[in-house]
Amino acid sequence: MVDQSWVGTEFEPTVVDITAHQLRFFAKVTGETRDEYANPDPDAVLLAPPTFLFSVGMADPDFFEIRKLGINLGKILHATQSFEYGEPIRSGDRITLRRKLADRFEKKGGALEFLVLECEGFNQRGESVGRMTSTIVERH
Amino acid sequence: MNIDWTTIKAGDDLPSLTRPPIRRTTLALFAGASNDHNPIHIDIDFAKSAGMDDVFAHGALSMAWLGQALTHWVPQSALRTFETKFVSITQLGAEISCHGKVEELFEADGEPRARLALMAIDQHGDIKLTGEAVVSIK
Repeated sequence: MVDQSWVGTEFEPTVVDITAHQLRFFAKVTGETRDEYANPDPDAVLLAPPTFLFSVGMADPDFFEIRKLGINLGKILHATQSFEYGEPIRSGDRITLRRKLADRFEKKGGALEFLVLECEGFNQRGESVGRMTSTIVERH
Repeated sequence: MNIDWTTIKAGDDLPSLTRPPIRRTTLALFAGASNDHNPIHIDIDFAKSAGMDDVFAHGALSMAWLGQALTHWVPQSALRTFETKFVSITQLGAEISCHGKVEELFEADGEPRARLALMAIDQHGDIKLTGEAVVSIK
């Protein structure tokens, strides 16, 4: 169980560089072949697909430090995910992420524990690239 | 795709998108590509120690495919919001197809928009993800 006192906690901002290599890899694995996402030209500037902000969040090597909250990776499931879009994310961007634990609640007498993580990303020009909310559920 | 927005109406279906069955390799590569390295998706020993029979797919994989279904219909710049609920675990071998339907047309922030209902199902018709997106249709 995550201590309720963590709710409202803002994590240290993290910085993630968006590389064309990573975007091509993501495109390849997901069967995406359109040029704007997967152009093999080494000089191409690629567009990150609509869910990529979630992966930007996961790129932070400290993300798994959420375990310090007491989360068991073997028992969590992704429950909901939402995005609100801002400026597009493109290869070459440097994204700064601000993230906080926005809420925590239980269902079924504590058998299910829900954690709501809110995140906003900003590019190197200080423009918002969007917000996302992730709810994960841990089964106890 | 060129769409005549003046003819869009509630009840219209988006073209569906079906991806090949999910293999262990898919999950290993998606872990790397998506930065989600949780071993529950890639390490059967870990999955078993956590009480699962096997590894299972990242929800974000099917959400990425739903995103592709959206951007086959509208350019990504038209996306305003996109959200999903992960309804049930997606197993190895699942062949996911993504579907969408126009729920309503409305105006917000000075632009015409469409609210879409989204769904990802496996080859048995079991619902894996449900969701919603709002897109600009100007």
